[in-house]
Amino acid sequence: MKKTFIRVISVAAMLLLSLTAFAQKHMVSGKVIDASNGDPVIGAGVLISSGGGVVTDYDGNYTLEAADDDVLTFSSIGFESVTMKVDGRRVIDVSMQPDSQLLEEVVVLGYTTQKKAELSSSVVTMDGEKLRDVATQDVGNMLQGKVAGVVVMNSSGQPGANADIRIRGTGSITAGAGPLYVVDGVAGGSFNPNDIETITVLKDASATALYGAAASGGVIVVTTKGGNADKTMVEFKASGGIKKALTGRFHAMTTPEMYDFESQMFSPVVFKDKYPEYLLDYDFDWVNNCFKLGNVQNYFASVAGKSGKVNYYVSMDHYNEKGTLINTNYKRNAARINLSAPITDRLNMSLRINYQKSYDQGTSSWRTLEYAYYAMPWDIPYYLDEEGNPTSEYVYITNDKTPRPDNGLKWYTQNPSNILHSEQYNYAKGHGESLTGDFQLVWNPTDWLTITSINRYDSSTSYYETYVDPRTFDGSGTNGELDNSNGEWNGWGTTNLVKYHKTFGQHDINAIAGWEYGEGYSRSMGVTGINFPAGQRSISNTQVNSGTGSDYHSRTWAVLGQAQYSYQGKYVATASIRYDESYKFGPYNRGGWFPGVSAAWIISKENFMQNQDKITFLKLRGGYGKTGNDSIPAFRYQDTFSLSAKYNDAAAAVLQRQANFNLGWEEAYMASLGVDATIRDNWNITIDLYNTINSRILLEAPQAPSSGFFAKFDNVGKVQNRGVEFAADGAIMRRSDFEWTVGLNVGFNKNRILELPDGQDMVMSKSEVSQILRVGEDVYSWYMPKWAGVRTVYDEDFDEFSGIPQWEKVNEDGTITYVDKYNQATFQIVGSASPWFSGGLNSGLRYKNFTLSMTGSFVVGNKIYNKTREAMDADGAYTNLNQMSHKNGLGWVRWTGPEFSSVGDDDHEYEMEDGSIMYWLETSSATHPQPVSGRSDGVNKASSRYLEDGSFFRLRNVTLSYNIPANILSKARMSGARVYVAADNVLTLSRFSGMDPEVGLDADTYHHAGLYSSNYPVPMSVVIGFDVNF
Amino acid sequence: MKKILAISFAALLLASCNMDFYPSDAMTSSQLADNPASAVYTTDGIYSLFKDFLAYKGESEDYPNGRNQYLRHYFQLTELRGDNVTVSGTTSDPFVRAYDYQEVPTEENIYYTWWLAYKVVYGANSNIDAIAPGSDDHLLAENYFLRAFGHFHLVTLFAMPYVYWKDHPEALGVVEHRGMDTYSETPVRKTVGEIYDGIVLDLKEAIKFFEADARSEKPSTRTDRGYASLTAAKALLARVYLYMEMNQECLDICDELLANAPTAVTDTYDYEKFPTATYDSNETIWCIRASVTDKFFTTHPTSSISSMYYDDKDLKRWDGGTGWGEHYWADELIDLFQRYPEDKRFAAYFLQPAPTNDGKVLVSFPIKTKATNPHCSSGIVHGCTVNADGSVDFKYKNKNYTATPTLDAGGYTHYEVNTAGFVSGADGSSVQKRVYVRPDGSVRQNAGDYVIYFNTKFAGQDGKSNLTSPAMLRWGEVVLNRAEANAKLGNEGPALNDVNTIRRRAGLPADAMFDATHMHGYTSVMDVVLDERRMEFCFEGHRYFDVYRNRRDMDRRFVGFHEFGIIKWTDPRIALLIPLDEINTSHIPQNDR
Repeated sequence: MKKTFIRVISVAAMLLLSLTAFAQKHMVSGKVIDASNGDPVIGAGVLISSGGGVVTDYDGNYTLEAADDDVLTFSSIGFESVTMKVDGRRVIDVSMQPDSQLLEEVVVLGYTTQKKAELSSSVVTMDGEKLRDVATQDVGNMLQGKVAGVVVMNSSGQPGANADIRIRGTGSITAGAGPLYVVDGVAGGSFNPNDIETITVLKDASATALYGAAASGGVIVVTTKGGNADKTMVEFKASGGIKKALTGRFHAMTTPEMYDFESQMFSPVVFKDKYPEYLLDYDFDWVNNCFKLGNVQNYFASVAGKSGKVNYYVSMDHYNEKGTLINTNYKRNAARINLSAPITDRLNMSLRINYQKSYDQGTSSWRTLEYAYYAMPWDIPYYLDEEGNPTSEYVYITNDKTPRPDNGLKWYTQNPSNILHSEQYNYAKGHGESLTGDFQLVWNPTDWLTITSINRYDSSTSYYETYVDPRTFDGSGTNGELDNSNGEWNGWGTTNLVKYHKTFGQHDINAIAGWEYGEGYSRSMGVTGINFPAGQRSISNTQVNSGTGSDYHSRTWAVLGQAQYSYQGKYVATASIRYDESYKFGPYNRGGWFPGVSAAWIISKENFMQNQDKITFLKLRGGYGKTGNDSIPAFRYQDTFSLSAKYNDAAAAVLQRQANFNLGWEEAYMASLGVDATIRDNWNITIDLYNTINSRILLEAPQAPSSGFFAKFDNVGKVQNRGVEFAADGAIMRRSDFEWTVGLNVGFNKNRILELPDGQDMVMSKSEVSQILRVGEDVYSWYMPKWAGVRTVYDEDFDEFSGIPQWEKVNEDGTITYVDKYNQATFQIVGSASPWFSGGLNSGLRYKNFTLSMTGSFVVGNKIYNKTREAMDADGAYTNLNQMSHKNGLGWVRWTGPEFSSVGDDDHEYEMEDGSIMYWLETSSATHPQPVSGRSDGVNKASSRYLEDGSFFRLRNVTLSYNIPANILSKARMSGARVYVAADNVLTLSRFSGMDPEVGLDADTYHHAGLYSSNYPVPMSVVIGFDVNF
Repeated sequence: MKKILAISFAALLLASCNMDFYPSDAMTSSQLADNPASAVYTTDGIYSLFKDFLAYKGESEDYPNGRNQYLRHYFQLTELRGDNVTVSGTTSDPFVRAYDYQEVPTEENIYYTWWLAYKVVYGANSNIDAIAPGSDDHLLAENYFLRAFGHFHLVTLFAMPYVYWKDHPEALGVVEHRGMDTYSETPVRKTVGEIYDGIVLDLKEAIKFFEADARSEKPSTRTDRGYASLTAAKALLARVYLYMEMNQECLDICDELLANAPTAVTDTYDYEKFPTATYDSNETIWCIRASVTDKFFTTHPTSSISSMYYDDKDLKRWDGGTGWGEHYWADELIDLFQRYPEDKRFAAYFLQPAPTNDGKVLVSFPIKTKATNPHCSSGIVHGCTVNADGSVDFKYKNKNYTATPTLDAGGYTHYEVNTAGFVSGADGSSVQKRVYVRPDGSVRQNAGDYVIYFNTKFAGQDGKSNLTSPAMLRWGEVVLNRAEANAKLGNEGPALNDVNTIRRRAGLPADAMFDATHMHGYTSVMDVVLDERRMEFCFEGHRYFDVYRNRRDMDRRFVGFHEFGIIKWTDPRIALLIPLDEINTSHIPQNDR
């Protein structure tokens, strides 16, 4: 399909060539074939050096007249040009090598395929191979730092976790703001990254409008590989390596540090009693014992070829990752079959089936991760032997009132339990299967008309089980707890398109019209059982405690159309429209219209550009479009009662939410303007400007709790995202045995709220941390008291100085005073979680058969709220949680005493030990107040104190690879082989005090975007591998 | 081409599909309305709010630590701010800041209590709107009662006491929602007086409909103590009148109620059994019915208020359920009961785990808060021996002291240190004369040292140490409400009679009874009534209100982890801060700090 399309376009291009014949020449004919598969190259241009030329016909044949000393240049899009001297020959057959660089010039946009040169919207496309440098199973992760304007954050190092993606900023707040995946022409579906042939990111609405629903976060189009070659191609890839958690600047205190810290809070007598000296004998590194070396392996095999008329591609993949945090892992087996075959000359069918099964395991409790961070260093999880050395058996701690069973000593960590003891029995794991099957028909009733029908069946099941052993602390209350839940989803959809393409002289017209329809069913069931003998893993042997179940049905449908007009290949205009209905909205608001227009001017094709060779390609493009977002949970417009409650053992109904029948589409309007240029055939530069306005934002808008409800889904307000994107790549040096290519992309985005109902602020609070929506401010504005550092005070009663915390209080007249009680401080905006700019860098160095490639990504200007510090940098609010070491290079200084000046007023006069008079200062240069045991002044409540610069640069990947030379390969009957060693996340530059500055952009129930709370950090990994092609 | 497009667009637009879908695991209000029992379901749904976990802003029951239970927050926000309870040091649980009058308006105990009380109010409004008078008057009355109950909790927790409002008519109460139409209005804080007036009106409506139901052809069968009743409505109205100092009105209702009370009310009853089966006791007027199969209990038994007061792990009095066991009897309260150790109210609920059996005692005493340290701390000296004369020698900070038994005006014993210089700070006023001598025993070490004194007043239903159906209204309160009303009306004899009724059934000896000539050192009948209320209702959420609404100050100079001092009855901190989520959405004024 794709190749055919290339050829059609090529024919059109070649028609532009003037055809002239000269005398005294003889006829030369021949056939031009594709070296990779032997197919004829249709519409290849054959230029004669003395002037004139022809194009090859549908069989790849050409005939022309040429003189003996003429040179023929064969060229076609997608192939490297070939030059041949006639030298008296009458037949010149040419085999053209596909040009990998030029292959990119055709872009799969999902419903359509288009020449890159004539694209009128902002689209970035990438070969699948360019993605697969990083050792991960998640395609979002692979995209990090590779596309300008696309921010990717790996919020968790949990194996199998997906990265958060934002294309051109965040316009949606409650509704999903991530991109829509379109796999092989249809939204949704599953795929394995190793099967990706190309990936295309549609950034602006003139391209995404055609996807209407849920496209407001951009669209990522994935095309999987197909079989095309006469020659059977076999590929085998294997890689394996180790992973290590990145703990950054974070260090929990060691025993000596913690002991010293605790001693500052108590008088020596009390301290000795509370923290006896024997504690100094123990120093257990919880972080290092909860985070260990992980590993990753990936094996992939594929066969692509052609048997008779059937093109096939078959692949199998096995991915296995053991996480760095104990008891976390992920495993996936995947298989794909892509087949295509002609039914008649004009009717082609294809079948694409992807199956995968994954297994994943996380820690048995969220407390495991917290414990890894903050367990006390003198709490040893193991039984101690007679000499006091740890054995390998875990100690079972029930509470802090009963002594350790092994040595009769106390367990210090707050809310005592030994999480490692629990983790040896407890688990939380699941597995899931998914099957996606596409059946596609392509019918060309005439040369200018194509009718396609893509029909997809999608099915997935998931199973999840958590087991809490009665022998563990977590299971002691209920004598064990077993949760089993399963879910299933199945759906089908059909996408039917009529495509029209015709060329009239210099006019080229493309149009499509189509409709889509789909239905989905989901069912789930979960049961919790308690009270069972240790080791039982069957619900039937438990006391069933509660159950859940649901059965939902959904339906979608849409119609769409697009028309494109191009004149002389220089001027391109596209218009599209789509109508969608969503069942998630109230009866009168289900429909949404999504139009888009764009235009491009390929300036480099103008005559006035022909007399220079500096700018070899130059295009100006612009577009405007509208997309929609309905990615909110279903049934939110209805008022629903839950009947899961009981009172006095009878069913009771509790109202979950109020109805909002006005709920409707969120709409995003995007205008964009871009320039693509190629300079000296080497440097590709793209600059984009955009302005997006999301209006009627689907927001879970806070409601006054005095209504009995805290939030209501509603369409409120407007958000604007404006930005500039810049991307450049090219070769600094290109020699036959040495090549150095570099690339840079960067996207600046400015986010601003334009409108809110009645202009009223909305405070979004989660887990006692707030962000605010305020007109004129960023959507991710942190809203909390402003920390005003440490103040020194003098207590005459006790003749003592103290270093106390203070916050800003903004008075009604706007003046600022300082208060030392948290609940008297004023909430205000203190920064934003949105980055100012972000991007990536890459470099590829090739010397002979060695290649050294590097990619890096950076984010600048965002503020992260480090919630971990509420517990671990708490100045004594928790005396039995380990604290963060101040030796993190960030200049943290604890208040130890007043600072003095030689001048001052009487109130601050102080007689020093040597009898001299000095004046003590109220201000202190310390960053941390004097610790006070068990303080409740709110020192550790959310304030700007824990808000940190989230900027970082990360060297995402360094790969050194060696391509085995052809002469060796041919002996082994191989067509290609590569061995490599790759290292991920080898270097991070950041001033963040937590483990990892990569913090999620997707808000969830407990987390705002940009909130860090005992996160599972991403790992550094070193992987070796090889790829072999036969 | 255009034709094709036009036709296909038109065809598909006309062929509009059915896009109405409903969840299978919930019912919409219209679906529910088709069910004749819907008002029963939705009314029971309101009661369930008091005990179940509800996800505020999507927070699941497992986060944070499954502790968002209304009853637990309610009992903590009341008792921990009084003088009956001391807590065992710091924790990540926000009750610690409420205990210290340092509550933060973003914390769960504040926002959950506020939100859920209003959820009760909303549910009641919705039902009152839906139930036609005459169709099911008992249900209608229950909903009027619940609406009053919700507003009463709100105004007592989040506003200054009614008596404060009497002197400060501008003092703000809470948001009032009486009627569905109020939800479209911008929320405002009405005055404390207006809120109380609404509560009285609602309770009168409740009484009216309960009485109408009783007279109807088919009176309701909802007679279980887990549901509101005519008696409950009247008992609550009596309490409200008492808070409003409408003493005669309170007296009249109490007289009426007690005239028809079950005989057992004045008799002794099984104090130990009472918390294990409140719903089955004649003492109970209305309780929040918890069930052993309730999910809050099966999944997070430690969320219950019982768990906060008691840990059965090592004691195995019931099922050995783990409790946090972080709230203990304050020393002053123990001393009050120690006057008559046979007091069943003490013997039944007081438990000191693992007291030493070698006769050793400990001496404990509070230490004054430093200006720069928000908490007082405590001194504990273990392993002391009682001298032959009953005094106890102990050594603290390298100095020797003697704790001497001293008799107060009523002839009751307490311990004092007479040594000059037993000071905890440079400030002379912080001299602690009074110390507490107790059997030595288990001590909890957290940020400070606390002797563990468990309280089983909420434990033991269905053999589960963490399960209870707390009585929200009981006959003992009616008796002491009448006592207080009489005391204030100058009817001292009847007041003391009611006090004696309570004392008698608690098993106190005849010489413990009061009369005008035998006041045990007390000089005021009100003091007698208040101390009796303190003992009778300890941990049940009355003390905090009983002190302040009688224009008395809260003396918090006891061993604990709070700010050492006296809180004046006019202190603005008596009104809890309103949750920030409310301030940010409805822009009502916040309470002063």
